[in-house]
Amino acid sequence: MGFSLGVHIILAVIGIVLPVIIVAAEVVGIKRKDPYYTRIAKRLTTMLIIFFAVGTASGTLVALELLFLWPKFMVLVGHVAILSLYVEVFAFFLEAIFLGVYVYSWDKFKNRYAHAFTGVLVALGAVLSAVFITMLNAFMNTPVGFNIPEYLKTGIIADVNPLAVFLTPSTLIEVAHVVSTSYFAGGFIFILYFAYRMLKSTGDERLHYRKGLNIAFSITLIATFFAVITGILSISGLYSFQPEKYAAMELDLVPQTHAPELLGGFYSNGTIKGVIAKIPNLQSILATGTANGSVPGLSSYPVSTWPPLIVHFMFDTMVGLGFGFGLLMLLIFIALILKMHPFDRKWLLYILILAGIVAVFLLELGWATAEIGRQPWIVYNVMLVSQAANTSPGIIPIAMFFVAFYIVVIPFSVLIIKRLLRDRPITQEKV
Amino acid sequence: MSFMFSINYFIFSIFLTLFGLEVGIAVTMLLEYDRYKDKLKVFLMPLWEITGTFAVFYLVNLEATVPSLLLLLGTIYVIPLLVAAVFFILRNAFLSYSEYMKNENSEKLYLHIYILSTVIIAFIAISVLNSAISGISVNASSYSINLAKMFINSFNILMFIGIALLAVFVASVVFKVHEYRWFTGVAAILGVVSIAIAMHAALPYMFSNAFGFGLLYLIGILIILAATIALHYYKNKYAGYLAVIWFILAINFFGFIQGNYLLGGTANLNNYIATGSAAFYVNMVTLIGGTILAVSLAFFIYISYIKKAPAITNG
Repeated sequence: MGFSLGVHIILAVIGIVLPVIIVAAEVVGIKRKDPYYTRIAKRLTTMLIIFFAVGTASGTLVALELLFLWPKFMVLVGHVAILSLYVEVFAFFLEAIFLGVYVYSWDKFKNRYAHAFTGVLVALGAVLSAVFITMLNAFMNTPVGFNIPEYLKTGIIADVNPLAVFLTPSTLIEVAHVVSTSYFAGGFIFILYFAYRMLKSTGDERLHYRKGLNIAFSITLIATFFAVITGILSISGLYSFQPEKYAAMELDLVPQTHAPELLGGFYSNGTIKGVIAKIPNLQSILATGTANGSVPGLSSYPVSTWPPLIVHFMFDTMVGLGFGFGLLMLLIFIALILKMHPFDRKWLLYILILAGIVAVFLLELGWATAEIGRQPWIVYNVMLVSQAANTSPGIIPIAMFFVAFYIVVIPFSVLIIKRLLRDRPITQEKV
Repeated sequence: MSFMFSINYFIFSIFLTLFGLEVGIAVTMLLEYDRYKDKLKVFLMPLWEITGTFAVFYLVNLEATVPSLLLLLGTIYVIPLLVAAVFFILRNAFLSYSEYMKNENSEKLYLHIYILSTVIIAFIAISVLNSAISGISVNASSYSINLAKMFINSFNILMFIGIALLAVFVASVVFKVHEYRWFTGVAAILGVVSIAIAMHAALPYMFSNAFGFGLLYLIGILIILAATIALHYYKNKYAGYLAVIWFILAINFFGFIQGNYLLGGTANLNNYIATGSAAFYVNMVTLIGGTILAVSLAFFIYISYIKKAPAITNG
């Protein structure tokens, strides 16, 4: 399941950001009467169709996996939190319908803005899907909407409030962070693509990719800003709603005031070793707003419910890379304002390609940190992963099949996209 | 059936109608690739995303409306569902690959993989539906199934042949494949006969409501079918619309014969349908979301299949 979701989120972020890039390119193309941007929109549409096709198949597999691999969890979801999942499929459907309109009806709209608007609905459907799925994840982190003590005592699901899933204590911040990081990571995938293509092309073709890079960079710049802000707010959210996870991420063994921010370090035989640096009071300030604010510690909880403490290392890496990206984007933005033409410098294109790869790694790392940090719970303080999983040996071939799907289909799809675009030279693209 | 379940079943009928059209296109392309490929691709390309999304939609819809039944059915049909998922991946992937392919040989190869996958998905889907309705091959108390029996029994084989023939008929009418209108008319009649024999063979397994109001309904849809065949024969422009309406109504007929029961009468849907406040909101979402989707779908059909491109496209 982890492998499937790990790959699926890459397809998902592409599906979220790509319609935005396409629509932005189309609108700029119409407004400036610039055929380059229209070509960008048309060529990226080819990618969108294939990623949508594979993404839909992948989404179906994930839905089947949830059913077969986590039956007890799905029973709970079915009774308490199903509305988020159910509304999500309507959003997904909206995306599919307007994708059909957008892709296959370029020539049927007299007003080209009307055509672009159908693309806006595709983008809206895609992002709403992400919002509603994240609401289910927020329910897993901060479960509400039923009588939890009764459920823990008797296993009976009672006093259900089906609307509660839309507004759990962690919903708002989790949704904001997931949406902004999706645009951030997805945007960087296309920054990588355009930067790579710029290096490989010359003349008109290079200009085409240069303009594509402008669009992808603009969207990603905004997303990076929000991703950093919501990332910081997420930590405060964890402090309030999942103190165990917070303590593990910060490697706080005991509750304390004036808590320092530890950079690096690992847990060994009851002590913390290998700390690179300690920033006095910073953790307390970030979590509570004051230097003498109290932060939770792992000693307040039984060892059996501690998350794996590797999450501290993962968390540090994630935060470090996140700030690195913020700095990189800021520097490029300043260079653009100063008209230094940063995208014309080869070394920066190499850096952007590397950054694109690291951004995907960061996306995976962020997701893994959030999920590992909730261990051993699948629904925090309600259901353990071990209680929810289908442990039948018959499930192994099914899991193998899912892994095989991604290993074969994803690379093949990328190769096909490459071939399709190669067979359609930019200069011959109809606008 | 309850009102809300009827609404859900109606949505399901629309899904099966669209998928039926897709299967009809696939089979027609298989038979006459060179002659109809370009014409049918125009119809197929906007359609496949909708039918593909419907599959996920229905999975979650069942999770919302009958969560514990889904667990029962999911456990029983896990193997055929996964095999269908493999072909679903192939269908999606290869159709999308073929779309912009310039090399004709590659396009033909990819489209044939798509066609084969679609027909296999249809066969598995019909087999699962037939088995779920009739209970043939299923031991519900032990959550087990005899897969060979599920696929190979007279009810299933005849139903598949009948539905395939009717799908080809409807696709031919909708997409105006006039050259074969004699053949497709006969195919429709043979399809109905095949389904009638299948139903008769399975009567001991079925919880049948096909009498009383159901019988009137049956006569009604047979009259509409006859009218559709006649309009198609005379190349009337409304034949396609009537064919689609007929297909939806014909699929709904199974709602009548199925009544509240699945698995040959052993599973009463009323015992599985979600109740309480969750059910109320699920129904609200179905009604509101369903209305939005219906309007969007109508817009999609208008833009994709009815509206002509204006002479000047620059806005």
